[in-house]
Amino acid sequence: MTGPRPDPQTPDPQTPDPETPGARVTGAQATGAQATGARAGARRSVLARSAPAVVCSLLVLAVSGLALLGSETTQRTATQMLVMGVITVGTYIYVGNSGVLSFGHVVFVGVGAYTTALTTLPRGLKQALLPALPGWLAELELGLPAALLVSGVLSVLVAAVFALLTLRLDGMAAGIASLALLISVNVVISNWDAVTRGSQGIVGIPADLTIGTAVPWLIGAIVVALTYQSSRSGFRLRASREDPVAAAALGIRIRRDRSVALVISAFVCGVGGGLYARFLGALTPGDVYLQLTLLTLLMLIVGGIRSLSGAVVGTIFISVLAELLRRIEAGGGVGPVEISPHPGVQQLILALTLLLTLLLRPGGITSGRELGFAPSGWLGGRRKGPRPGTAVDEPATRSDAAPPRAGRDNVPAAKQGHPQ
Amino acid sequence: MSAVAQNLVNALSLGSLYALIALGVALLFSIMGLINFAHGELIMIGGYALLWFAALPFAVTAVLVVAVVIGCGLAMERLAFRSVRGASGETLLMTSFALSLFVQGGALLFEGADPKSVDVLGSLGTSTEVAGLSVGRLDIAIIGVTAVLLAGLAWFLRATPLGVQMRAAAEDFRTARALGVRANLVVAAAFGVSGAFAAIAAIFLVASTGTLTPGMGLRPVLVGFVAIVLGGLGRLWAAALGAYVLALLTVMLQAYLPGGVVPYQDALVYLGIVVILMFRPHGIAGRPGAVRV
Repeated sequence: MTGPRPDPQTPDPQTPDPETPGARVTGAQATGAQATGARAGARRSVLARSAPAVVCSLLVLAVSGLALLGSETTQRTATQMLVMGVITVGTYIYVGNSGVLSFGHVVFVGVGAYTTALTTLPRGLKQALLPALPGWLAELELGLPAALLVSGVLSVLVAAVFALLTLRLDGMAAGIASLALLISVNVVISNWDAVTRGSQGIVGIPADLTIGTAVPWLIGAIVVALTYQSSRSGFRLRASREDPVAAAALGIRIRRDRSVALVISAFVCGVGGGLYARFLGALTPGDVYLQLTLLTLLMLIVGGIRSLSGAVVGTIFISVLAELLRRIEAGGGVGPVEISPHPGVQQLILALTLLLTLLLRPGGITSGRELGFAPSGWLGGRRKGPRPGTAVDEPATRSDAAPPRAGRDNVPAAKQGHPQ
Repeated sequence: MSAVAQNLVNALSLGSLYALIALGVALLFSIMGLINFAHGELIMIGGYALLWFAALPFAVTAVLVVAVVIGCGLAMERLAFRSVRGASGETLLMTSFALSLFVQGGALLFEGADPKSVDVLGSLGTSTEVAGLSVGRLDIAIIGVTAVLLAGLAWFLRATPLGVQMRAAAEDFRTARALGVRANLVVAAAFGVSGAFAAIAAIFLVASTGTLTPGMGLRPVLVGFVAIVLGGLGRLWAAALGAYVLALLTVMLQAYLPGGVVPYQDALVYLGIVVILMFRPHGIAGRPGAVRV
């Protein structure tokens, strides 16, 4: 029972996972190695189960602590990293657990950002900038926590409309529909002069966010994400991600669990958007559009879209990389090209990182594993799944056209799911 | 009456441009399930290539532009998409997204972020009277060239061995391979044709707007996506139809929307797409292919 068995089709009768109905679906495809992991999983205490959140939070604290020693610029970059972390973790809650690609989560970020901007702008400035605002909103001036909660709640309302429109779709159509929604909302934001000041944007938002005030929100987002993914709904949703047909056959109502995830995800993204507005200080429609969408997806995919640790690791990795590249760009005179500021280098390298990740390590850095206190090492010792390096993070049901790629010696491993 | 006819001519011209873009996207989608964001960057490369070769006679420039863009399309296939062929739609989508940003980054680096202007087909800037309507010569050129290209593509797909293989691959890639269709050849041919369409679309696009920016590919490619979604995912002729429908919709909205709503026109169009997808997840003329439960 310890070595990997070659036949992924044989169901394993000894997969005991009493409180995770969804995990049995993937258990049917599991190898012996995975079943051993699942047995270990059933014995895990609450403490061990929350290990990913603890490790991720410690990681965030460590990086933030290091940044506190640095210059003011470094601290500002670290603050941005923390804000991006909230947005990325929020997006992960839906995209990571459901496996449905969404280009639309920046809509929730945008709603949150504008809500926080409008509710925390100093009263006098608001009346000067936006004279057409309705009276009650013009008078409103909330503290940061209250404004962020309002942002989250409003994003949830938008998510309800979103759910109504897109939840029937998956795969390609879902991606395009969410993109279409993002464009629609952005057109509205860009033209609604009375409330958003159109493409001129809102200026004068108190930009007082620091590492100290941002860290608690990111840790909160991590805790929410882990709580959701270890809930029944989270397990059901991930089962549907691995095999929608089998999950539906087991009685999982995929659309309901997707709605739950979308609502939680929208709330966290809304809060992240609020933080983003307070980080930027000036908000234009372009700030919550494709560039931000790309950055979020970049962090998720490079880190590993199928685990919470991936979202956090990806955020840190890409933030550090982007900061290094920014310094190279500013430094000038590096490399063979003669243009002294290198305006495209950052985008070029970040896109290349994403491209190479997709081509060489499709599961991202973590490949669906969670960080934890494992006896055999920190990185996924207790986790199931193929060895690092051979991981092809594609469930067998999704790849429809070509036979397995040449050069992958571990084909059965490529077909395994990753029950969490 | 003549206003309606004028709008119809405008819609026909715009629809022809959209159809060129949409067919380039739809060809790859039908064969390998790829929604190619980088198609917009092929158009962008075509635009800058026009600038590089602007000094030459137009016929030479056009041939060079088409050659450069086809070359870039084939390079994209070989370097990026071949490695992920057969992966899930999401992986393909993200790969093309990454590639698109990579090429954009390159354009930023080498051409700078500032818009550049280029004068292409300036001699077609005038209008001419056709049956009492004032029609731009450029519009006539777009409509004519697109009609020829559509006919050419139809002939290619029906009458040549390679075209028949491409249609077979679009129908069922795996079975086609089992019957001896060479996957690499068919996919490369699709990228080649797609590149040629992108180059010609770029020429007409730049001729009508006159400006170049590294991000200029985004809007056309979104239009292409919308057109193929409107028509029906995976069907070439439906994609062309979708392009003309979208153009008609755009022109009519522009002409007949009340003034206050005009800025929100794009929002309405894209929202309309979402609603259509909601009721017809496979497009207006699409057929469901996935497993149903």
